[in-house]
Amino acid sequence: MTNNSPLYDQIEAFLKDQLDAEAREAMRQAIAADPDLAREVALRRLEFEVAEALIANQIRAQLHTLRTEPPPEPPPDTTRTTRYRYFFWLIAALLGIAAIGIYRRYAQTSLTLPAPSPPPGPSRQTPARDTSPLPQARNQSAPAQPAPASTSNARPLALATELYQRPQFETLRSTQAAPNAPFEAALTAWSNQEYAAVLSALRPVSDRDPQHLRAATLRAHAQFNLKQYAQAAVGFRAVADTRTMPWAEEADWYLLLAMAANGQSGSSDFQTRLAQLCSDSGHPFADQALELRRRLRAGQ
Amino acid sequence: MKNPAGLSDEQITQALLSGVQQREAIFAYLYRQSGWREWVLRHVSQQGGDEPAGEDVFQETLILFDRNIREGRFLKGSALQTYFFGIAKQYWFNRQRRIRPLPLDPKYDRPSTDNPEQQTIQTEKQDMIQHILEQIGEHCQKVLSLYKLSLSNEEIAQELGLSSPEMAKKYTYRCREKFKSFVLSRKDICEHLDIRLRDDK
Repeated sequence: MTNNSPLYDQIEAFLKDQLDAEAREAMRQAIAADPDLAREVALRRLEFEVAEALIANQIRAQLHTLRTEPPPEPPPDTTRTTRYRYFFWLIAALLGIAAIGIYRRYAQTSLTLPAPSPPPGPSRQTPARDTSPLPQARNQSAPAQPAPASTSNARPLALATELYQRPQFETLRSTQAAPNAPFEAALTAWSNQEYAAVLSALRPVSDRDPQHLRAATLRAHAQFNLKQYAQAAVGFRAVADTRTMPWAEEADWYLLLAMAANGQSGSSDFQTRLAQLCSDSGHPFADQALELRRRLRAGQ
Repeated sequence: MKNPAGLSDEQITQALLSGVQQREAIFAYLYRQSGWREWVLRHVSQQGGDEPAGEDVFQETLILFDRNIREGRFLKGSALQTYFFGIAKQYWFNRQRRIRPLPLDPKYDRPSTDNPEQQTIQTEKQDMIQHILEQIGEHCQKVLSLYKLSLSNEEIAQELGLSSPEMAKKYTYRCREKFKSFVLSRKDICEHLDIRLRDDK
């Protein structure tokens, strides 16, 4: 029997005890007669056991958390909440009026005074040290860099943009986050193809944010779509080099595209990364990498 | 049927068959609000066990209960609560017997777990599973557990933060292959499971 046998499709049903008596008996006989099928069944059974052990560990971990954390607060008194809300809005309104008054006064003063001259010498303001291992979006509001247009790069650029598939990212949405949370706002901008808005929305996401790898990936994609290929390559490289799955593997592929689009397809870094990806048959983008290599070679 | 805290058997079952968040929510509900945990603690206490033992019985019962529901072993012959308590009694009884042997109530007797040889095999298998888990890595562990929960590719993508359901499909395939190659590369595991390698033919 070969792996194409319909019995191979029935292994799961057999292990879950979902076959009728006749099919079950047929399966038993087939397993006894075919060592390959017996091997597949044993492997699948072990996979089930391993997965169940994982699920059990997850339940144990959750119960441990529930045991150690205090029970949730009872729902607040709604009448008190309404009263607090009223006071909050009252204070907010008073503050707003005061702010408008101060602004108007300041505006009148600034019209009558000459503009202050900048202080001589270098600014005493110390720039914030960037400790992030991932590049934050800098010059996000700057105009997009024109794509490299030299004749030698025209083909890799065309190839990179052709092979680039714009991810949907809808699966990254959280069901619990507020819609105006930075990452959610960035995803909305992404779905509207407003790439500059994606970069703006992601600006507050720091490297300490649990979503910073997703944010870095999304930022690099936005830069790619804005034709800022050099920045996109920097972003994808940073994510790829963390080797944190699953983001690193997606970044491996998109880094190659960004580098190719940026005219770096002849660099040793590009060639090394492309060779690595092509040789890793288990990599989810191995097929695409092989296609890229084939077409780059065909174009030479 | 509704339990005292309000969720029906159908709602509990559906939540256990759903995605990760719904499952976590229902586990929290069963722990805090269903009254099932208190029942187990009381039962264990009445049978001479202490509170940590009661907590352990509740936890392991929940694991068995969840698996049985997902695998369709609950035949709806009773209320879900009765079924849960039955598993808890059985688990506590077996555990007690390992501590100090007692005469058995026939309806709880399951000799398969009492044979010392079988217990040794079971322990060896647990060690082997633990070893495999360490080898396949954290990422593939998550993928395999999500796959076992029968989540769709879209739900797996959402849980793993992947950009598309297609990526989830690729990752699932890849992790399953990784698992398979690791097992087949280990002669000791194959022998333990009586798996015949292709080269042996």
